[in-house]
Amino acid sequence: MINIKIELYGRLIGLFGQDHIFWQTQANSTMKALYQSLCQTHQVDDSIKGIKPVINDTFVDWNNEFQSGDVLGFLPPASGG
Amino acid sequence: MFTLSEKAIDAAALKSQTHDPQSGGFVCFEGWVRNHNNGKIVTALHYSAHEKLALQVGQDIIEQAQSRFDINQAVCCHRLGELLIGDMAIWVGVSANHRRAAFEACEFILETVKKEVPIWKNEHYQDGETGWVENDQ
Repeated sequence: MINIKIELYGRLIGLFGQDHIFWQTQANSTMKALYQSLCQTHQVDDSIKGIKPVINDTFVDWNNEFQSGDVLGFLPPASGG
Repeated sequence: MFTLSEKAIDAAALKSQTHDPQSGGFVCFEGWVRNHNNGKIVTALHYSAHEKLALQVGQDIIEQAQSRFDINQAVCCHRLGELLIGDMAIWVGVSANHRRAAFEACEFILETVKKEVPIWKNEHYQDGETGWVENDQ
């Protein structure tokens, strides 16, 4: 098992009720598997439509894996301007 | 240049960054906080961002505009934090030799920033509720 920090932004803060979560998960998980597991635990919609995954402040693909100590982020569609 | 600001946007200072002796025209857009959205009375807004990626994506958009349009200078600043009705949320300014390129680049920057820069708007309504807004993708 590895420890990671997950940062949430925009409407995801409202959805999960917090702006960050410390999470323990299995090694070699993908961002998509992690997000779906997170949604399942918090009983929220697990659709990834419009959401961009981030590892250590860099945009990544949903199939990317992460390492222990990484800071992960999920960014919903932007609404600036 | 693309910047974020926690303080009121200084439009005059931003405009001065677009001055260029080659330019025959300047086009600017200011986005203000309005007091209504989707039938609800808005009293304030809060903008938050993933600041590192917002600066990176915003600067990429400025560079795209500079390569795509025949312009001289392009500047954009987006506010973060609490804004009240009438406050300026975004400022875009473009100078160019001729007006058409300046108009087109200004619109391109505005539309692309709204769609791609990781900034999020949380509206505060008169009834005490709040709501996250998402632009059309």
